[in-house]
Amino acid sequence: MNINSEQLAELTRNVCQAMLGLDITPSPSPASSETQLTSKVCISGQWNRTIEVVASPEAARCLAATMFCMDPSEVAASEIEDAVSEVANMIGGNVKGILGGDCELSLPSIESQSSVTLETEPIAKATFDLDNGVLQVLLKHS
Amino acid sequence: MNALIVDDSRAMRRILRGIVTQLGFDVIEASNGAEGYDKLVANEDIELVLVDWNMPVMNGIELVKKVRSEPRYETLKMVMVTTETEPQQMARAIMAGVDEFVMKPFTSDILIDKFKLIGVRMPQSS
Ligand SMILES: [Mg+2]
Repeated sequence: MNINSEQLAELTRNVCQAMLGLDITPSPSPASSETQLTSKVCISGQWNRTIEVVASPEAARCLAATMFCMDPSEVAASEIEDAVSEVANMIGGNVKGILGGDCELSLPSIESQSSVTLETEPIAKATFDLDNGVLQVLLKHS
Repeated sequence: MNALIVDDSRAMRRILRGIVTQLGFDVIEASNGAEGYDKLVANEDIELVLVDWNMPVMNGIELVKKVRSEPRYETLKMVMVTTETEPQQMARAIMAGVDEFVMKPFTSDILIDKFKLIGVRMPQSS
């Protein structure tokens, strides 16, 4: 069982729509080179996969403001990390459900990085415009 | 009447709080199962527990088992709200003692329908 980019995009849209009421639009633009926030969750067991949610500062702030029902200018860094982590958790759980089999989902971890690392070519990738920023979801082997 | 929300994500607790507050509940929050258990014991008037599965320190399944092992909490309404979506995981949660299972992402309507399904007593909404 594998997941393609269309499925990854669909379930990401579903998470943002159902949970946050956010309509996100697919974007062809690559992730920008500015500092981004990445949250990772790992699936291990019958399948070994990593899901990375990579958000530009604008996109991360928009997710947090929506989840915390706050003005984007008021959200704290910890709230931004928490919101992006929970989005990664939800997407990871849904990916795990599609993969099936006996697997565990890790807790989300957070890291700041200057750009998307491409040391591992993703299995699937979905990119969205979000509040003048970019939200990218990557599914990789781990 | 109180609802206890146990989830390691503050953002998710905020979303759940918004929904149950509209139903008239006062909300108590905890960020892991161990903290959730302590808050349950410390607060008398808890009608409903919403519990996440994947949390540090003590996960949601461990919390549900611990709570259900005590006769005084036999009839407490417990709903698991989680990203675990597979049928076998749902079965594990039911075996542990949850009354219902809601998969993330969910809408407020889905959550409220589940509350009704299991007969959660709603406070008088103001
Ligand atoms: Mg969690």
